[in-house]
Amino acid sequence: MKLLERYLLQIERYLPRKDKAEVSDELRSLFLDQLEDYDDTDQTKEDRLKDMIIEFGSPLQVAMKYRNDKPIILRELEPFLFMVFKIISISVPSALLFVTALGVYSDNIDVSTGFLVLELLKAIPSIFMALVTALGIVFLIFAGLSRALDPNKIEDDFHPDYLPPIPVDVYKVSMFEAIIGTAGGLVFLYVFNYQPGLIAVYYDNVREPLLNSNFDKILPFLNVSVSLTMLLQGYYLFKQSKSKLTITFEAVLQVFSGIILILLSQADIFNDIIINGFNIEIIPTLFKIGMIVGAVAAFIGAIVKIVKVFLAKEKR
Amino acid sequence: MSNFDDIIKNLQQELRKGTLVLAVLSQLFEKHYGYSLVETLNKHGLQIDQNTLYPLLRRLDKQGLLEATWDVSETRPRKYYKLSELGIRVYNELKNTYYNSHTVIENMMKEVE
Repeated sequence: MKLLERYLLQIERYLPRKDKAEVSDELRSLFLDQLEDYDDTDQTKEDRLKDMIIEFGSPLQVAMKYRNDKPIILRELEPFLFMVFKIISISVPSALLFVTALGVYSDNIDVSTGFLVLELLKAIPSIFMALVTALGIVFLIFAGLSRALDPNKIEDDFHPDYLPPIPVDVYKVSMFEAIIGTAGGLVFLYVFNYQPGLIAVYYDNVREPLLNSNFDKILPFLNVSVSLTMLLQGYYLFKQSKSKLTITFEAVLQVFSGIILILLSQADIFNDIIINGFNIEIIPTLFKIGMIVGAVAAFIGAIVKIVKVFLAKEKR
Repeated sequence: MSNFDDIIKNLQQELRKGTLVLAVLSQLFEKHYGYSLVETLNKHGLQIDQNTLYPLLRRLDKQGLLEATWDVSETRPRKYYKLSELGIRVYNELKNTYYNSHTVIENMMKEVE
C-alpha cells in the first residue's frame, strides 16, 4: 500500500498543519474500506487502488475540497512559484557574489584571497536584502496572477504512477523556531551591518557605541553563521520537513556558532569608555561567562542532535 | 460538451448541492463511518463523490452538527459520525424548510403544466 501512502502524503502537502494527520487518517480508512469491499477477480488490489485514486482526483483537488480559505497564491501556481523561487535563490546570490568579486579585482588587481573572502563576507547582508526583495517582487507578481486567473481553467495533470516516493527519514519542523530564526537573523543582519553603533549609550546628545572594533573583526563570521542559519530556516519553512542531511548541517552550523561564541568570549569587544566610565566591569565578565555557557550548550546540542537523528526511529 | 449540457450540468450541481447536506444529515441519526455512509446513500439512489462527502462531513463536524469518534477496537481504526443535539435541531429546521420549498415550487410548477 505504498501507493496509498504516497498519495496521502501529497494531499497532506496542501493541507493546513493541524488537519494533515486527521484528514490523512480519514482518507486512509476510506480507501482501505473500499479495497476490502472489492471482489473483482480480474483486477489486482494495486490496480484497483490506482483506479480509485484516479477517480478520487489529484492531491491538489482533494486538498482544496477540505480548504475553505482563499489562498494568496493559487495552489495550482505554487509549484511554479517555488520553481522561480529556487532559480532566484541560486542565481541572485551567485550573480551578486560574482559582481562583488569582479568589483574587488577591478579596484586592485593584486588582491589577496583573504581580502577577497572578507569583501565577499561583507557583501552577504546586501545580497540577502537583494534576495529578499527579488523574492518579494516575484511573490507579489504571483499573488496578482492568482487574483487574475480562473483556477478552474488551470490544467492539473495527475496520474498515480507519477506520485513522488515517500521521502525517507523525514523529521518535524518547528514553525515557531523557523520563523523566529529567520526574523531574528534578519534583525541581526540589519542592526549590526546597516546600523553600526546603534547599540550604544546615549547621553547629553552624545552616542557612545557599546562595542569596539574587535567586534567588527568577528562580525563577518557572525554574518556567515546568521545567514546560513536563516537560509536553513527559510528552507525549513518552504519544505516543512527536515532530513538527516539538513539536521547534520544544522549541527555543523551549531558547532560553528559555538566557536564564534568562544571567539566573542575571548575578544575584548566592549568599549572601555563605557565600561570604565559607568564602572560596569561586571558586564564583560557576565558576557564572557554567558558566551562560554552558550558555546558549551551549542556543542552539546549539536552532539545530542546528531545522536538523536542517527539513533532515533523515523518519525513524521 | 454543448452549451445546453453545460448549463444543465451546472444547474443540476447547484440544485443537488443545496440538498446534499440534508440528505447526509438524514442518514446520520444512526452511527456511520464514511464508507458505510456512502453505501447507504448509494442504496437510496444518491450518488455522491467520496471526495465531496468527506470534506462535507468534516465541515459539519467542525460546525458542531456531528459527533465524530475514532473507533480503534476494530481491525482498523474508523471514524464514526452521528448527529449531535445541535445537528438534530438543525436537521429538523432544514427539513421543514425543504418541505415548504418543495410544496411551494411543486404548486408553481403544477400551475404551468
